Amino acid sequence: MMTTTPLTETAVAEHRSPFRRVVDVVDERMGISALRYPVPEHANTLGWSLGGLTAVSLAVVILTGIILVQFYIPDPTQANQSVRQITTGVFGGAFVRGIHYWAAQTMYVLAGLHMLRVFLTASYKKPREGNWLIGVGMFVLTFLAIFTGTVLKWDQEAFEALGHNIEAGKLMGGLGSFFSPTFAAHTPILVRLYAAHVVLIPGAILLALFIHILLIKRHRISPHPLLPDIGTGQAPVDEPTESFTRHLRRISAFGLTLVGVLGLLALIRPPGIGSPPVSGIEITRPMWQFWPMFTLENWFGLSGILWGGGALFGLLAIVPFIDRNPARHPGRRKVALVIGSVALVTYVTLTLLMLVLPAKTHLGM
Amino acid sequence: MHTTRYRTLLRQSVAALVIGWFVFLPATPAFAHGEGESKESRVLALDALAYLANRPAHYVDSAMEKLNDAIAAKDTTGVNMDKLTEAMHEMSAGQMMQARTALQDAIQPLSGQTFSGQMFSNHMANGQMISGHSMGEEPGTTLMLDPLKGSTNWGDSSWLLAGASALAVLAGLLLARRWRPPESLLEIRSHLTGLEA
Repeated sequence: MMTTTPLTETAVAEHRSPFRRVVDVVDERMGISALRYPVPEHANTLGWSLGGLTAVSLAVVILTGIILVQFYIPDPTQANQSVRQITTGVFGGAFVRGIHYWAAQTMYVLAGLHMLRVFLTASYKKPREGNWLIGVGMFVLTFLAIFTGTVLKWDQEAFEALGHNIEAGKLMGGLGSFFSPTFAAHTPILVRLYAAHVVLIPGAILLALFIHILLIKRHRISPHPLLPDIGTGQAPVDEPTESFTRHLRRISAFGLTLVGVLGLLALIRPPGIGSPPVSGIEITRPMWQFWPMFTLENWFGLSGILWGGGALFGLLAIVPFIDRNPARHPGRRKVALVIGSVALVTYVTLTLLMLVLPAKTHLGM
Repeated sequence: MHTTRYRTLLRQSVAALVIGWFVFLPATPAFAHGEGESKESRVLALDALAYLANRPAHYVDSAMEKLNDAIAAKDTTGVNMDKLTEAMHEMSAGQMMQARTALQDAIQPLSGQTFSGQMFSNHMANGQMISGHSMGEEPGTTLMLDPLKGSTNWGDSSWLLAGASALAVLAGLLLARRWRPPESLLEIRSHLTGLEA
C-alpha cells in the first residue's frame, strides 16, 4: 500500500515554476501579496468594477497626456496652432488626442456611475464615510481636470469657459483671488492652468486614489444590500471570496474592452478644435459636463454657476452625514432613494434644458 | 499660564485674519466677458473676424456691428484703417471671404511690427519679452483660423488601429466572461439563505 508523505518546505520551493519564483522573490521584498486580500464574490461584477474602470480611464488619460505634452505649446499665441499640429502634423497625434479626449469623458461618466452605484448599494455608510468624501473629492478634481483640459485647446469655447471661471472667481472675493489673472499678471493664465492640468490636478487625483485604495483594503469591500445583512458593515462570513488580484484580473478584462472602445471612438468621433479665441464675443456652448451650471447661469446670472456647482458637490459630500439610517436594503431606505432620485432627475433636467432653452449672452457683450 | 493665553490669542488672531480675508475682501462685480466692450479697434476687428470664421451666416449682423465699432473706436493702434474700411465695403457687398481677408490684413501688423514700422510695445517680465497681448487673460490671437473638425478620413493606419481596437474589445469581453464569478448574486443569496435556514 502506497502512502503519501507531506512535502517539505524545501521540496515545495523546488517545485515552483520560474515565474512563481520571481514573484516570490519580489513579494518577499515588496510585499505584493498584500494585494491578495479576500474580496466577496458579489464584487466581481461590472457594477462593482466601475471604480476600477474609472482608474483604468485615468491611466489611459495619463499615458496619452504624457505623449501630448511633448507636442503642446502652452503659449496663448501658439496653443491653438500646436493642437492643430498634433492633430494634422504628428504621426498618430489625432488618435492619441482622440483617446485622451474620450478617456476623459469616460472617466467622468464612470466616476459618476461608480458614485451612483455606491449610493444605491449604501456603500458609503459607516465605516466608509471618509472614503466617500475622498471619492467626492476625486470627482471634483476630475471635473477640474476636464475644465482645465478644455481651456488648454485655446479656442473660442475654451476662452469663454475661462472667462466664466475668472468672473466666477471674482464673485468669490478673497477665496477666488488665486483664480484671478491679476494674481500673476505677467504670466499668461493659460500657463498656470497648464501647470494645474498636467501636475497639480493629476497629482492630487493620484494621491487621493492611493488613499482611496488603502481605505478600501482597510474597510474591505462593502456588503451587497440584497444579501443577508450581518450588521457589521461587512459581507457575510459565509459568502464565497476571491483574492483582490482576481478582482483586478476581471477589471483588467473590462479595461481591455474599454480601451478598445476608446480607440474606436477616437477614430469614429475624433475631437475637433475651434477658431483661435477672441475676447468680447460669446458664441459657443460649453462641454456637457458644465450644462447644469450654465442653465442656472441663464436664469440667475453668473452666481448661478457658483451656487449650482456648490450645491452639486456640497450635496454629494454631505450624503453620509444626513443619511444616518444604518439599513442597506433598498426597501428600508426609501427616503434616501427618493431624495437621491429627485436630485438626479434635477441634474439631468438642468443638463437637458441647455439643449432646449436659448443660450443668453451676458454683460459686456 | 502665559503661554496658554499667548497661544489662544495667536489662534484667535489667525482665525480673525482668515475669516477677514474671505469675508471682508469684497467680491467684485463679475461679467461673463469682462467689463464692457473694448475701446480698441484691433480687439473689435478681431471680434468681427471671429464672427466670420465661426458660422458666418449666423453672425453677419454681429460681425458688421463689431466692424462699425472698430472703425469708430478711438484707439486704432496697430490697425490699418484703410483695410478696415475695405472690409466694411466687402461685407456690405456680401463678399464674406474678401471681407475676412481684408480684416486679417488690417490687424496683421501685430504679429511683428506696427503699420508704421515701429515695434509694438512689449512688457518685460523676468527678463523675457512677453507680448502684451498674451499676458494674463489676453487671448494672444493674431491670426484667425477656421474651426477644424476631427478628420474621419481613414488611411491604412486608421484601419489598422480600428482592427486592433475591435480586437481589444472582443478579447476583453471574452476574458471578462471567462473570469466571471462562479455564482450569480441570486445563487450566492440562495446559498446564504439556505445556510441560515
